[in-house]
Amino acid sequence: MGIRTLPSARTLNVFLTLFGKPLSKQIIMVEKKSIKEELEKTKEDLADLEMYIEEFSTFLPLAVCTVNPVERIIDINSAFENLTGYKSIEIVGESVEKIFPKNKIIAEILKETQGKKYVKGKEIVLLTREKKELIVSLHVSKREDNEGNFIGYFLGMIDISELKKLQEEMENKVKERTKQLQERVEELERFKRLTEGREMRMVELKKEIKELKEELEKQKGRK
Amino acid sequence: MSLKEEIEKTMRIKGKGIGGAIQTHFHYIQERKGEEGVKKVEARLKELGYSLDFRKLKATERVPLSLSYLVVLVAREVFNWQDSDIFDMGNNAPKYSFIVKMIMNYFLSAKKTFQESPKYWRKHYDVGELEAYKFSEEGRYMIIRLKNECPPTICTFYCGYFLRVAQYAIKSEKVTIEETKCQNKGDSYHEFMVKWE
Repeated sequence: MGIRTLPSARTLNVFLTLFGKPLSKQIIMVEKKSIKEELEKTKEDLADLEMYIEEFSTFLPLAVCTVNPVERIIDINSAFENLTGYKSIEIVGESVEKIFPKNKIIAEILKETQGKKYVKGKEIVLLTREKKELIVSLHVSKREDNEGNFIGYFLGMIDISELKKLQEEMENKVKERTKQLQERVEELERFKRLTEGREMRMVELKKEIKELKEELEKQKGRK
Repeated sequence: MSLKEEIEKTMRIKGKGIGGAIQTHFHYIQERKGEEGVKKVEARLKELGYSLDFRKLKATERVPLSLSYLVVLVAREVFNWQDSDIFDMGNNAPKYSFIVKMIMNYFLSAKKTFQESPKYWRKHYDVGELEAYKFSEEGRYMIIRLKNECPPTICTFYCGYFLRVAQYAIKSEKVTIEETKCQNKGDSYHEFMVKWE
């Protein structure tokens, strides 16, 4: 058996020129094409995702805004615009305190969300662009990325001003009715006391009459 | 430099940026000047030989950077906008971008935003270089440097833009920006100083 020797540099060069180099180039070209195709597909997916989110966000009847970790509003939906009267250009980038004037309350709610991850139905006053105060039921969700890093909040708002107004009206009506009933009860109690007094007096009078009758009978007997 | 000269110079600028940038320009025009305004800018662009339908652009698509700059210059010309308008246009641009909204989530603090800014630039453009030069929490300022060829109008646009990015990340109602060095004035880079109280 002959001794195997390493190919000479010339042989290697010829081999690489004939097969190696073009083959590597082909592989690189195929890989590049594949990466490019993948990138294009990802871009299309991202564009589709953007469109989907935009459509969904526009459709959603619930007012929603996205708030970043330093409590700046970074995105809003159409329902938010309708509720607050602010256009995206006016409110995006502003502090969340701009729409919640009693800012200590919102700070407390956000702090609470940090611990619980989700806070539901907190009543809070929202100040619209026209400086009108609305009572909203606020839902806050803490946002985290894949690695668990805190990246902000989602805020959902439902206008309950009308509901609260209705509730207040109902409460006022109940109070008024209760007052009326109380007055009636008092009146009845007064009447009861009065009638009871009369009855007692009648009993006393009857007793007195009876005693007088007895006295009279006695006197008649003596005569 | 006249606007005509600015446009000519702009169209010689190389490099590409994301289509989303052009979309944000048009969103701003639409917001301020309505659909009529958009049509005016499109018509002027056509006159200059650039037919552009921003609605057909994809946010991540790479388009010539010069085209993005051109839209700003044409809007300036068509509406006779002043520096304050261009500043406002730049300041509002991050509000419209889907990509910016996604990236913004990860700007957890002023310092983090500052550190991440070079990456942020590269996500948008394949030319130029943004350097996070200096950040002082105590001094309440940061300096970013940008090596990038752009017309003078765009310096004003970037001032507004970088200010908005800073406003997103800094919890202060008083954040200001100033271009302290400018490539268009003979410096080797643009330098922007952001201060806050």
